[in-house]
Amino acid sequence: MKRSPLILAGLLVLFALVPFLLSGFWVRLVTYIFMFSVLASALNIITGFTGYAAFGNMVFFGLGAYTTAVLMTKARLPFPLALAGAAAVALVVCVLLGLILLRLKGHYFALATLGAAEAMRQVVDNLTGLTGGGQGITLPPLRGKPFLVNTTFYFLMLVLLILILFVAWRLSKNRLGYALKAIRANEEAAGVMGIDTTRYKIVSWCLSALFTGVAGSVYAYWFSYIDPPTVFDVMWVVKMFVIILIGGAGTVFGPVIGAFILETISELVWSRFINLHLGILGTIIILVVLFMPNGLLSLVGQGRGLKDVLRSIRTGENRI
Amino acid sequence: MSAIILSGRGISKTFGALRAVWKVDFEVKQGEILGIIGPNGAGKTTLLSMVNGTLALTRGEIFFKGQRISGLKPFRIAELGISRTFQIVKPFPGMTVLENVSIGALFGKDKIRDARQAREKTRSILSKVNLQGREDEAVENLNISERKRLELARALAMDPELLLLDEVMAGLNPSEIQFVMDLIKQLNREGRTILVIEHVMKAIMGISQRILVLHHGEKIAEGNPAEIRDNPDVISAYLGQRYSRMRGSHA
Repeated sequence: MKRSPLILAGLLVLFALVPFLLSGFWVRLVTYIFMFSVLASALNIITGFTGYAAFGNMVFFGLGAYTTAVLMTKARLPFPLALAGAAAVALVVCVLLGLILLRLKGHYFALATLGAAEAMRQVVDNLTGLTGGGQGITLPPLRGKPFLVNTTFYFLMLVLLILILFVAWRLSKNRLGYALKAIRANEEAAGVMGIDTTRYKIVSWCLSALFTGVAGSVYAYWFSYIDPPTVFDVMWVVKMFVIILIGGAGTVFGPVIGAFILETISELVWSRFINLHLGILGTIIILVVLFMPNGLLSLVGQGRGLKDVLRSIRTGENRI
Repeated sequence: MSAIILSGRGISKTFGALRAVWKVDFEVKQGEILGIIGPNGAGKTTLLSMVNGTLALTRGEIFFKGQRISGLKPFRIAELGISRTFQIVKPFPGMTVLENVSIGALFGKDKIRDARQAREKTRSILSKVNLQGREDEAVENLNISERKRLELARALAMDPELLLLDEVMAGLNPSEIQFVMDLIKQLNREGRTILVIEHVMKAIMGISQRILVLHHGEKIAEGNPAEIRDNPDVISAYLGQRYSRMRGSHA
């Protein structure tokens, strides 16, 4: 246990050096992996810790991206303000959605969030005047040498990742974390023991939404072009679930480990066997579910696999 | 006379045409142990669930220390100082014994903010219910007797003024029953008011100061254990009218 701070410090130094050691392609790839680590960690808060399968989390990513794009192009705000705006919009929408959807449990919650994300995509698609509709929207790009641009976004995502890991680490041992775990285990008993389940579920989902929205904001500025099919792509959520599955749901570092494994494999496979990409990915998923249902981290510590989450969806209860 | 801590007025709960609890009035005095008995399906657990808010009342009102609590959410009622155990125990899987009980200290009446402090308080409660040494055990590995005591420990960690116990002795062996009986009496001496549902007749007669009898959702008797034991309505509810008449003619 004493070694873990050392390992973390070592990793931090290593990651801080990446932009200066690797080529632009690899820096962009690691940035991308950081982004998926953030998204999966955010999903992990509501799904892994709290037991609610939020299949519609892309709604916050898309909203974050679009808020940033609109604020930067229409209102001509600088990026930091647009990012703050994106965070605020994600939070407000999450509270409103949470008040309605978090009354649902199991399949119903998962489906309703999926519906909410799809509805939001349609709204954005049709608000042509504001969002450019299906044509997408082009943001003013960050100007500078490619090295500087790459490094900026690399560190933005890294900081975001460190922040959410800190939140997840606190949740693994603080009062709020206990409440979420109790809700996941048995919501009725949690209420009887004095836990305001509605409030904590909303707090949990909004933490998730905040980081997802901010990641969407950084993504929009980074890629400087967004359109509804990309930023509301439900396949991304599926990917996040697979990442959590590989790493271990309800653990602090599982999503990061999962993201690195999945994205590295995905990149290697995708660049070489374009036709086999999905097939190989599918095989990996099946192997993980069969032989490592609680994720990699369950091999070293206490974890909870997506299998349990899915089982709890099936039974409509939040118990293992 | 001591003060009334909990009272129900005409409380009813219907499920479709079934009157699970029908127009029951009851009062619990501060500092007493009130037993609730009745045949299977009499409405005992339903009554308890209405008190702690897990079931909404169809009709009637419940007051705790003068405040109307019917209609409040379970967590609000828990915060006021009422905690309960479940007949079918509901431990939090995926958490240790210590974590399970800590939840009570963190979110019950005391609302301890600090998780470490809550764990310390939890240790003393675990030794009270004889679960010391099992702190770091996963709850999945507990046997039924331990699970029942875990359920009790979680309720106690909330530091309740009023404790609602739903068959905490079911499935226990005689020495374990004796242990729980002594524990309940001790908790009562510490000043906690206790409402207890129990099928083990010897146990409930031994610990209750007063007993309330439910049958088909209605209150059919109320009194001290001796009065209840001799009440013909109670005997006929449990053993049938014929036995009751037979007994009456022999007396």
